[in-house]
Amino acid sequence: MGMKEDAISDFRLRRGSPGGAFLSLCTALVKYIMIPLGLLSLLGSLANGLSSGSGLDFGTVIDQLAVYLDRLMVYAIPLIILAIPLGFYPKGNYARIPFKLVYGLYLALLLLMFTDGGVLSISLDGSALGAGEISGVRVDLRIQAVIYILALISVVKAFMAFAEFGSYRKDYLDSLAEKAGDSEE
Amino acid sequence: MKAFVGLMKLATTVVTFALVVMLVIAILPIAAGGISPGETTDMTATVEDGELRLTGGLSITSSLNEDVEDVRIRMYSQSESGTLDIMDSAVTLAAGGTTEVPIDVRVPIAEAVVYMINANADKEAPGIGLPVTVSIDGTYFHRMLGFGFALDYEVPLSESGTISVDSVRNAAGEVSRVDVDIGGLSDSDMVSQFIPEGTQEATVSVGGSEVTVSLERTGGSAKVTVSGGDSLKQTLDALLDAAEAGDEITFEYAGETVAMTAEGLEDLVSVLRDLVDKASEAGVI
Repeated sequence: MGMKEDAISDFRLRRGSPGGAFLSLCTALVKYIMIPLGLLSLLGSLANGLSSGSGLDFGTVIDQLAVYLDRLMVYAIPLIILAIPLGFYPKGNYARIPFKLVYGLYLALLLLMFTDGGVLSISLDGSALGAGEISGVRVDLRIQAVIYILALISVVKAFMAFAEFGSYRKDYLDSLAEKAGDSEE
Repeated sequence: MKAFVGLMKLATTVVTFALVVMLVIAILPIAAGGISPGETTDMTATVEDGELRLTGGLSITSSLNEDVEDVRIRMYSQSESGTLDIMDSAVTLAAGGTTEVPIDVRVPIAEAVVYMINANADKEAPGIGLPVTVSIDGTYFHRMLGFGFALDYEVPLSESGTISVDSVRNAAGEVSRVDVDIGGLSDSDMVSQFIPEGTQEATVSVGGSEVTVSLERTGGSAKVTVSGGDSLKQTLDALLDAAEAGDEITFEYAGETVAMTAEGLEDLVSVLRDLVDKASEAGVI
């Protein structure tokens, strides 16, 4: 008695691996939550060191940079959720395609959203600059070119779901047949 | 096929990593204050041919390890009256050094004085200043990354100067004359350089309509009077309408005729309108 090989049956829970899902979830949590939190903590300690003695309130600078990291963490929640089925279904499984496709496309969108389309801005008013004639400073970093290339790479990665499926389908079916054989024995 | 997928994954990972590293390396010097405009140096204000001429220099320090070409540097003052351009030039910022950018700008004296009045009329504490913004925009790293830097500060024109605005109105209650009293000036104040002792008069006329800005300085005080017709606002509108119709623009300062463009007239009318609005809110003489 062989295993069914249609797309719908590939979505069955017994076709996935809970261990893989857990590993993928942990990786996503590290990438989108732990690393930004670590960066926030690092920036906070840097700000304390830089502020002492200088007239500039680096706390305000850090607060504004933190907004981008906060935004990254919030916008990345769908990616963290998508990472679970992505890790759950093995390569060569039909069910992996839609999740990988959506993951890649959303990642491209996230890059554009959390960087405001590739323009990072920091503004300081007089209170953050200490005493003096300077009443405000604004710094814009325009990184559109890099962000658009990174977004394009994410889109390419998304469509690689089909190539990955084609490459690993035979291995996947072989492993299914092997499992079926083992259970019959 | 598997090799292709593997190679594609490797390639996208390597490119992503390279881009992120490049981004960090390129952004850190800018974020750490790699480009910073310094103070303006040796700024002097003189009045020549009905224009306020500002000369001096602006030093910009760059700690980036590459020259940054085509950097646009603008220096302007922005207030409710609009924008007063002081400098707009393109320079190359030398790597790891200081670049001196010369400033040499001419602004019609009437426009400069009225602009200064508008920018300070609402102040309660003594002191006259000009809000100035220095903006630096450029691209680097093979034009892949760009930066914009804007610094707002106030150029002190007088430490103890005060400005009060009053108006004279016609029977219909419209402002027909604006009187501005500037007090508390000292000879060392920068404002004293462009409102010298004595009386100067600037008159702009187009197609029969005429507006006069009179500057009168006596010791530590000065008086600026703006007059023109029965209703200043209507006269200002008439000036623009006549200029649009192609009538000749005549601008006279201290008895001498000075060239004025249609754009120059628009700028002057804009600041004068703003002054009339402020005077409308002030008390009636």
